[in-house]
Amino acid sequence: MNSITLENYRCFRGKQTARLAPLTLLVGENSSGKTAFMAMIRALRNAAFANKTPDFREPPYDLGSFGEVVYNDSRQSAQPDFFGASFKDSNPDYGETPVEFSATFEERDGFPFPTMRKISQGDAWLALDDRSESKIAMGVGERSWECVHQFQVFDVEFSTLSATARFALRHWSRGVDATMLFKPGDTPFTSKDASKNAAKNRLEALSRTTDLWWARGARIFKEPFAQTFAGAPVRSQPRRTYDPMRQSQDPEGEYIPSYLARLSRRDSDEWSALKKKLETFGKAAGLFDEISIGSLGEGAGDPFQVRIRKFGKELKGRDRNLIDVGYGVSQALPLLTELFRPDAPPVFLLQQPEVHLHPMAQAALGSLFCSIAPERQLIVETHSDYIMDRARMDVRDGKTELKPDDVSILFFERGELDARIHSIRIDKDGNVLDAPESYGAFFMEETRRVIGR
Amino acid sequence: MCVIIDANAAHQVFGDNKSEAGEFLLSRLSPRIKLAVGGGLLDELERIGGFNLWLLTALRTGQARLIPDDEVNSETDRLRSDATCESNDHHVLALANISGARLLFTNDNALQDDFRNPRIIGGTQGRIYTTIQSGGVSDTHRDYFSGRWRLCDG
Repeated sequence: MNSITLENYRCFRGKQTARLAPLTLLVGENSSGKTAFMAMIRALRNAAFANKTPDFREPPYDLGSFGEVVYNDSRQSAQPDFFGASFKDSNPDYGETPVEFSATFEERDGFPFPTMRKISQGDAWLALDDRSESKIAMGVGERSWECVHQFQVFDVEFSTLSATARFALRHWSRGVDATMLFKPGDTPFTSKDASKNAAKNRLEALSRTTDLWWARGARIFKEPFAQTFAGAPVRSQPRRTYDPMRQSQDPEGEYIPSYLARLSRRDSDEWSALKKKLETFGKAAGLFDEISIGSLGEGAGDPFQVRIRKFGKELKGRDRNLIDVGYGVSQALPLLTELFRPDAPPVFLLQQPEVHLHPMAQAALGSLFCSIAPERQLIVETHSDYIMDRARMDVRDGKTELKPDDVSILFFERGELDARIHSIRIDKDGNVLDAPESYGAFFMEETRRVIGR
Repeated sequence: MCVIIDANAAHQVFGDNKSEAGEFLLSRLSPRIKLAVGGGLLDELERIGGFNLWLLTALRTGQARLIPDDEVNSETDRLRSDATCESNDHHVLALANISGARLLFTNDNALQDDFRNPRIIGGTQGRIYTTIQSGGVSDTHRDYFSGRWRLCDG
């Protein structure tokens, strides 16, 4: 995702566009819309790729009913009857024009429901329109064609679309067999009509792009693990002893100890690789040098403990239970495991990953994000200067594959009744560019006071 | 836009010997009007109490722009070998050339002359913010930040 545009959403008045990058850092005061921003990214990706209706109340976010999610302030006599968002996705495989996915939400039974989903590239588009009756539509420029469910066909030849585009449309329409929506042999695009042929060619091109887009976006499309990981700002509390539990992903990482125990019992390469990554970060962050699972029985169903070891300069310490070491370790562990696991999703939405971590560990987290972001898109809400500093420095010093354009800082500025998103860049020297006057004003004021200016 | 504060004037901004003009300049710095730092001048400024802490925050908030030492040092060497400069502050002039900063706070007469010399400063005449006459805020000081002047070529 290269950018996201919000419209009439939560505290964001009108339309606002923010630049997204492999590593996007969200900063700003409390209640300035950062969490709502992440909730919309997950909703959009669910609308595009996942087989479920976007839910703005699904943990770790709870934005409430439609009336609370749609933009509304005291200046308006009536709240808007819709809100929406779109994201753009660029890739050399798509050609020069980015692919755009958009969703419009209206009220259904008190809650937001996606009544329009659309994928477009340039002037060609495919859409599922659920506003009144469900229909699939497609168009090029001013021309459009549509068909409604139940075998009715309107001037379109389904073979124009690739299998993936058909699948995407069927997917969005929640199981309706799209192959039944078109009557084979209908040929609206005749060779004698040049403009129709041109339109057909554009739709076929879009259809091919959809193949690639869908394959990238939904590449980890297997339940129960989502293709977008949304982490909670506070992770589950450590326990002295764990009972194995179902491997069901959750924002607080409740299942993570069981996941680690399962891998360690197999004694697999997967466990060795994950353990090595955890320990490498643990050392860099000053958190721990060794992690192990201590089983309290022989069977897979027996309880177990998560154990941590910290080395001194000369002596190795003894194994300690996760609950007996600093809280930062147990708070970081779920997040690290999610990032390191081999089947990690392509997009992460992280809220305050720095909580309970010493600045040294926060800085190490910044470097970790820089090392992972070339592979997986990380969108991180943070109040940590150490994470921000490390990202700027690692890019400047060439310690990451990330280039300056691969980092986006989104500053959420709270206004009287709404919020505004500012997209800030960094240059090759790690300098902050395009910041508004208000960016960091509080910090400058505090610093001046500290130095007596 | 970028400005430079010479070490001989920096104590009026960050040090114990503050002046109204120094404080006014500090208050004008923003993400739009940045302080350029780097090379030998940064070494000198770091000796002034309070500067390092201010700089750390200013870099985080975009009110300062750090220019890599190697770029400033190589330009410093070029200017030194060119022998056009009257002052011995090649490192300050080099920072101006690399960063594009065109406003300099200094009370050094020789450096002022060099900074106004288009042959040294990238073909343009730099502007001088000075407190030689008085430490108060003058109309000239205010005028520099009125938006009329282009304070950076970068």
